[in-house]
Amino acid sequence: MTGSDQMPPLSPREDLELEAGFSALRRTAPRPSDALYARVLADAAMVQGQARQPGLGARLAAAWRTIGPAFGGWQGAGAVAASAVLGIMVGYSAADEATLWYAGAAVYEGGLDDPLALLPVEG
Amino acid sequence: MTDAARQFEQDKRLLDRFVRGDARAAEALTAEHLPRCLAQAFRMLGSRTEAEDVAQEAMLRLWRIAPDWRSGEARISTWLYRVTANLATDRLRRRRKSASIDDIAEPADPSPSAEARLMSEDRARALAAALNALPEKQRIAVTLRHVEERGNPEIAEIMALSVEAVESLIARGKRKLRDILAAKASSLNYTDEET
Repeated sequence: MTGSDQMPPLSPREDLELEAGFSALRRTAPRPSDALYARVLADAAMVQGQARQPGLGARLAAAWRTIGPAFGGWQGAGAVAASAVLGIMVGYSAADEATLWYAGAAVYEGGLDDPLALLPVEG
Repeated sequence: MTDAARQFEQDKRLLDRFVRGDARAAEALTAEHLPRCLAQAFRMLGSRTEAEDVAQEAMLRLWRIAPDWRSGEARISTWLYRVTANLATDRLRRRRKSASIDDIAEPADPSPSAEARLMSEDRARALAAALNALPEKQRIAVTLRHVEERGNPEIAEIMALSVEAVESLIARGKRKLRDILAAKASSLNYTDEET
């Protein structure tokens, strides 16, 4: 049993009296001004505008659609990238010795300390 | 389909349209929900300027959450009620004082005669004071039901209570209001019905 069950209900007259008060209180509520409507709708337009602007991912995808064919699509770009990585690895690998071949015969075998030794020997 | 379910579906459709960039959906949602937000904030804060700021902020949060709105979770009006209440409470905490009932604005729809208008103002002030004297849950339930005119199922959703508990709170709140107002009844001439 709730507290309200234990109390006598309001009489119709008491209900009417209270409703008159509620009605008066409802009329004290301000109504939104045109300026407030305008501010709220401006906020809505701003948020909708932000939603329409593509994000970074979408912008990158659009850029790829433009320049991708110049690289031969994904396969071409992949080959270019793999070549670049291989070139960097070869460039950074420290070779201590080299063998120079000329006309099917080794003309130099040795270290790389003296770059002049790699030049072809005249005569 | 019940009115609440119909409203729920309509809100959901409007939010979907808003997310797709439909400006008219924003207008419809604003027309539906801004007056309640403003009224609720005004009742809590007692200042029109602050209430407008709170209502605008609450609506802005709705626009921002729209793309992530999970249908079936809550009604927009319920969600907005909570957001508005939180924003207004934050402001109340910041200024560390309650809104005075003396700050209640002039009625927007004044009665035909000055005497009737004054009577209406007196009633509103007396009822506002009596409402503030109620225990918090009773005050919220009675205000939502009889001032904001929301249905008991929605009030139950807002207050996270059963409909039966809400009915009990409203009944007890009204009885207590009646007791508080009884002392002033003669001076306020409550027996003269306006409507």
